[in-house]
Amino acid sequence: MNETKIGGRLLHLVPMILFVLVFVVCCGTLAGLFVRSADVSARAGQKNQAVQLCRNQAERFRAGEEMPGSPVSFAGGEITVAVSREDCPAGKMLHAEITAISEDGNILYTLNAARYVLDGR
Amino acid sequence: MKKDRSSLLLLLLYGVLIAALLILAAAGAKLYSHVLAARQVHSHQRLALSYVQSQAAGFSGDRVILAEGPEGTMLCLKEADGTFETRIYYYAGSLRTEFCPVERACNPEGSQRICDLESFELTREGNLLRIVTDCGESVICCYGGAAHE
Repeated sequence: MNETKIGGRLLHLVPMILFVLVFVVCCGTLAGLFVRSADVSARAGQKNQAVQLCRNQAERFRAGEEMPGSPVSFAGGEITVAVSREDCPAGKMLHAEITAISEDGNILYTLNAARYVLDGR
Repeated sequence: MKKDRSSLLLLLLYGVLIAALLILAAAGAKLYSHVLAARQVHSHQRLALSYVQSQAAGFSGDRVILAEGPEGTMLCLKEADGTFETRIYYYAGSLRTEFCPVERACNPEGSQRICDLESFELTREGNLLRIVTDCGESVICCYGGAAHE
């Protein structure tokens, strides 16, 4: 008699427990979505900044400024510039590969710029 | 007595669930507003800086001129024949542009609005034109050196 009573009460609790479980799963999914959304937004901001900084560095290179020998840091990563020379009949062609690398080592953006320099300049 | 206790527990459970829902909704709203604000900043950055960058890229240094605008420095990009120019300047909290004859005075009310900004500054450093806005900074290489009126 007692066992039947306990079984009946437990059976009564099953919808409630199911409801709580579904609720917890939904909350967890939503929280996960929020965290992922914040992460995507942060990465978009980082990439946006990297693109702008690379473009700025490319413009400086085109203007004839000396490129930094060591990586330049920015919030969330650093920018490296690799300059190579190619001899041409009346001067030389300078190529710069400007790369933005995140703190965890991923390449965020790469930009190639070139400048022609006449001999004697 | 037992019924009262179970009712109280049920009430407590509903309270916890409602509190969790409220916290989740508040977190979601806060995150959404944060994402929107960040998106707006990035959008303005791309609009303002890239717009000026792409406009100035097509002009040689002697046709890129900094002049006094309605509110601060104005960028003037002169056409090849020297009769018309594209003006980019800051006015009443927004970046504006107008294409008009060189001799005509600025007409901010009739200009085209690019985007809203809190600040817009232009400076020249040799061949480099520097743009500083509240959204970021950008430099543009002007071959032949930028002029200043």
